[in-house]
Amino acid sequence: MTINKTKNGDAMTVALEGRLDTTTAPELDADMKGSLEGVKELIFDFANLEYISSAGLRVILANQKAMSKQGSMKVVNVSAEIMEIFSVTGFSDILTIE
Amino acid sequence: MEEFYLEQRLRALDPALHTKMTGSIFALQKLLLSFLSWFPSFTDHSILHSMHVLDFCNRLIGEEQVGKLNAKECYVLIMACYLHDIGMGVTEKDFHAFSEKIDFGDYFQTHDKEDISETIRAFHQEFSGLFIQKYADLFEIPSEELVFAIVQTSRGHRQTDLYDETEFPQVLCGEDVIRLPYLAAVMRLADEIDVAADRNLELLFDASTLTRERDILAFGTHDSIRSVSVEQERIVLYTRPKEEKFIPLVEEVNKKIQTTLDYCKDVARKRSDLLITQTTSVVLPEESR
Repeated sequence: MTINKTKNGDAMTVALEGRLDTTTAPELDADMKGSLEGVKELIFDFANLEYISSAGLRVILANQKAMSKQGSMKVVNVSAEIMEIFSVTGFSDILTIE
Repeated sequence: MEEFYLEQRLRALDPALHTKMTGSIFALQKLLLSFLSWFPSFTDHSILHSMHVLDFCNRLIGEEQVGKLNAKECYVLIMACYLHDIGMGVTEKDFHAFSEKIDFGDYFQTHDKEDISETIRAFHQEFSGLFIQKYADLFEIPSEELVFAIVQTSRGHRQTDLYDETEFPQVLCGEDVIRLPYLAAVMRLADEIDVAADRNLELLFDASTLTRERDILAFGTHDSIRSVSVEQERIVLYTRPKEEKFIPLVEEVNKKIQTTLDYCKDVARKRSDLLITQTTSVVLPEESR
């Protein structure tokens, strides 16, 4: 999986490419833990994310929890397949998805 | 939940498969609450039920026999414990899609087709199986053979013929054999025990709000069974009935466990080289514990 971060003031966009699963989720988790300081708006761009597993959802929720204390988070460009995963797991009710 | 034999053995034999299993739990915690949309009261199919079933599986198998299971068998049984009731919470969209694949037989000759929740309840093992097939990637189930084994073990928890060699074969998976009949038999018995044992009634329900006699009797029966102990040779229901009328109802529950025990024990004996060591289910007063 590739992680591309772009900062614009206190906003940060994280574009994910590939698969977010048990193999790659720890990498994203570690990467994000050191990146959120001063960030008030976090955007996950899923345009090139092929797949997300339960382990991947866990990392996304961890970031949602962190951002709820310091700003906001949204997920954009979600494919129909991943949207169905969000829907069936109830994540569509927790996350801001655009 | 003292033993965790299956979990420990899986981690020792195949840490990567263990990681996939633990990674699945996160989504399952939320998914397993979705049953509430169809069944807002009375029975618990949350992850607590799954964990109790897994705990009973561990106790039924025991420390000695778990050493005879390979990593894939441990993984299949753990995942099936978590997923066996997942069909109780299917979305309406999945309900309609899955319904096209389920053989309902003559069910709708005597039941209302518009009663979706009742249809789900009656066929939830089939909905669970189809859910697991569809969302196998969410749980990172690594092969089709493992998906099949988890689906069948989950379906096997009720209303399926565990002697059927087509539905419950020995599954060759890589170099390992998954002894499906044994796994499904243990799973069915563990679920039966937990249905009798707990269902978290005191946690979830205010009994004073019950009005239907059927519900009051069901609650009182489960409330009378204070705990269940799985020993090497027997299953013990420790009871404290609040009223006399619950005593025969508890005996009925015990009889049902004994019937399931006899069936599952026979399946294990005839269709695998593993055993269910327990032979009887008994009712004892709580104070004798």
